[in-house]
Amino acid sequence: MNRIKSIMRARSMLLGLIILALICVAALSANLIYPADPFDIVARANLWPGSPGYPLGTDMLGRDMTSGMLHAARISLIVGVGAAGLSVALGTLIGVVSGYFGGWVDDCLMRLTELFQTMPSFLFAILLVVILQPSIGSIVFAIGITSWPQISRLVRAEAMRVRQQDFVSAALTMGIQHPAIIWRHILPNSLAPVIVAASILIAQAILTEASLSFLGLGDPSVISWGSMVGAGRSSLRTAWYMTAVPGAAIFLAVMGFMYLGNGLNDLLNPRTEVR
Amino acid sequence: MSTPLLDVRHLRVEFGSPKAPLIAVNDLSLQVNAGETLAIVGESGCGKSVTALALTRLLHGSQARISGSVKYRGEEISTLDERQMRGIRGRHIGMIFQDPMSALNPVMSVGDQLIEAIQAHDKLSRVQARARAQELLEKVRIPEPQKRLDDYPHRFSGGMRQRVVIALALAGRPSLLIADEPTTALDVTIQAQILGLLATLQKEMGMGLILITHDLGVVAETADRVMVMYAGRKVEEQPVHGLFAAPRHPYTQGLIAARPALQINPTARRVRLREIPGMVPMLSQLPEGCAFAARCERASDACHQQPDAVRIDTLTSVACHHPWQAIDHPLLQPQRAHA
Amino acid sequence: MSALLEVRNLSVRYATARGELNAVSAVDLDLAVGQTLGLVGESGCGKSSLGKALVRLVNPSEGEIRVNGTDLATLSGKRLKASRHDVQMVFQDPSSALDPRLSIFDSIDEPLRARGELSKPQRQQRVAELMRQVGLHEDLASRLPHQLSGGQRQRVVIARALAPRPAMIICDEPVSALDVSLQAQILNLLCDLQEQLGIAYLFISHDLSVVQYLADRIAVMYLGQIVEIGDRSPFWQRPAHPYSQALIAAVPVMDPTLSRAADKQVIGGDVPSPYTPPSGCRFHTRCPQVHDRCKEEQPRLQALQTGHHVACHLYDATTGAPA
Repeated sequence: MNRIKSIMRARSMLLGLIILALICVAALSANLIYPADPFDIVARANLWPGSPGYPLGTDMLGRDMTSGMLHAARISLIVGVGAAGLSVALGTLIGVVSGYFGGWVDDCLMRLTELFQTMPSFLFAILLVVILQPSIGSIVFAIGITSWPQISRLVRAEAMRVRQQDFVSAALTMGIQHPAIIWRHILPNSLAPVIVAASILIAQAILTEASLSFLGLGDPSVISWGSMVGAGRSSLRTAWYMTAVPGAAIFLAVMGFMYLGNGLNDLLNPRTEVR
Repeated sequence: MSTPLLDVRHLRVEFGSPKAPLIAVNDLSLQVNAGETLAIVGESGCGKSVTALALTRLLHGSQARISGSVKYRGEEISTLDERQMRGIRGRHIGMIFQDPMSALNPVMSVGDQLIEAIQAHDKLSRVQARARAQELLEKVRIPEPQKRLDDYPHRFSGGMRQRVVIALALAGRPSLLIADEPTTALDVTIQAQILGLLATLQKEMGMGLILITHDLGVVAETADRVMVMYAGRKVEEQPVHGLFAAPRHPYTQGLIAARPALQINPTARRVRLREIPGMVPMLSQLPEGCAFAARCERASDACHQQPDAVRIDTLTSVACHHPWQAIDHPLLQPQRAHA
Repeated sequence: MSALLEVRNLSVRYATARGELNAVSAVDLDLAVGQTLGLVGESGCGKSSLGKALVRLVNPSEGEIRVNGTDLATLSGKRLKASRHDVQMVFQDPSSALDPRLSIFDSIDEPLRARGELSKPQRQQRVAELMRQVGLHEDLASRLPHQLSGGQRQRVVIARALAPRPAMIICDEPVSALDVSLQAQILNLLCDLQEQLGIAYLFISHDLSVVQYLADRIAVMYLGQIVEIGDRSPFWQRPAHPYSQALIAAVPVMDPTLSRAADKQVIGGDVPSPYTPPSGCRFHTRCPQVHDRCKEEQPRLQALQTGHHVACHLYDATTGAPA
């Protein structure tokens, strides 16, 4: 039974990795296969997928959907990884300091975290993008700054748990300084759930970026899956493929990161095999 | 001899895949009579707790495979279905576990939990059940029982909580009580109180008691008969006086010698403790033959074969190729040469 | 006999959600070089807090902790760091005391690295020596803690505590989490190490048999206070405080001919909450020999004979035997 479970887990993680590898290959090959700007009008409009030369068809302006999909993959990955990276860095720093030191430091940092958590994060992200002007940088910043609280709460709980362990007491009696203890003992023992959460955060960030682009708040100079869905919306009834194709890509990418996250969850627990 | 209260034959509990099973309990037979205390003693992982859970089939959620016969008052209960088994648990066989906090529901008052347990076994009105709950608290010597009925578990100290747990186990008036490390989580003075209480209650109610523990001191003070387990098997069984006077199995002997005994007038310098070398083998890596052989000073080639349990007299048996005889026993030499 | 550790008037108070907790109140202790002091008491008596205060894992609210003449209680920063290696600690649960992600080598090496006095090859040599001292095979150096048994893990914890060559080790229930057959191994190891290296132990335990086996001197704590402290033979021959007597009587005897639970005389009641300790003598609520005076006036530690002190009003008038 356990073996079946672990194989299933391994399978889903493998599936996740394959999906993500394909997306990465697509993103990397975009400039090689389609060196031209994906915004260029190259053919007749509304060509359905499967048309000769245009495997995914063209959109209502006659832009190549295949080229658009590949270039958009890069943007989605950059936004996803960038935003998750920013939020993990912020959340881990705040969480570990808060959980390790406790007391008034913890009180202050947790009030700050709650402040961010109680704001509706999507509206907050929209606000930030509007103020900062839509660009890749501002979108990454907006998503990252609104999603770190969940990481910091996670890390804080883990850091508090590890702080209670006797090996931290032992390190203190050896005269090791707090930053060194955090770096050597607390962080490595608190990060497993963060890595899992990070892969799910990437998936969320890809979704948030898609939503922002769908609302027309994406970076206007680049193409993303979200903006393609947004653009295809108007001809949903006549040419549904224009929304379905980028929509499916978002779905696949999110699923890939989710599977990866769940698989990592099992892999990163050092004691799962024994007893 | 009359039928024993509980008669277990060839009990076997396996976990894991059928191809490479972990045998937690292997070929275990035991009997308990009414009014008698059987102590099951052993170190962690020897299968003593699994035995208790297997007897009442509380190993739910795990993929344990249980075989063998369990007879309660001469009737086979190992073949009963879950619903019938619920009628046995509490009503006939009560259970007490190590941690008194997790055995109680923190959001229910102690009285409500007792009433629930009483009404599960007897068709009583709430008022009657409440009166009986108060009786039970009196029975386990909780001061001011009618006041404490409405208190929640967190208002009780550790020792008082364990008394409540005992009261809960007694709610169905069981004739057999299984107590799994009932005092391990408690302080010494509280442990002594609880053990005294269990012994008195057992006498009053004529219950059979299976006491599972790792503490040989607790065994010596409470048990009538003792069963020693190692790596899932019974290695020795003796009446308590015999076991401490002349342990037959080298493992039992090692366990007794490894523990410093509290003395009234200790020697000025300490004598080195006799250690049992090595460690308990993992169930997944049990050797062929006697599981203790690798740590045993008396081991020989014969020990590569599983020793059969040898009956020495009606109540004593030992599973060892080279058991200590009563005469050449090292623990006996200094004190009582003529025993 | 030279005093290695002198504790004077040490108190530890915690501010908790339920109010102030006096975990340790006004404790005096002495420990000589190479000696073992056994500290016994039930849960909540403050023995662990006292142990933690001695290694400054908790900050004492008042009092002195002199180790070789230096008062650890008031040091901080660099000077505290420099003095820490004198007192090390061995913990109850060896699986919590080792970082699950560090190899055995890294764990034992950690205090050596922290001091930064030895080069890498010297440290490797020292770790190998330490592992030999505690009876661990050198092949285990690259293993992770979860690949070791409980007894082996406790040996690693002991090796790590020995690494900075401490004068004294606080052992907080070091064998309670271990099986009986492993307890003897660890107790023998601790004795051997003391003989070879002349280390002093403060041995904290709830297990009187183990304390009797190891300790040269015994201190009994109840609700944050030391109620009796004495050298090995006077203490065990004539335990003076009613609480010490009750504790000893409660220990299960490994001889069914001598003692049976059903007819054993046991002290009743529970340990009162340490948040609201009783007035006067803190033991008066459970004491079988309680007098009116005990409820109001707190007894002070007084000498029964050299090296044997008790805090009990029974011994006020006379210095003779208990009633």
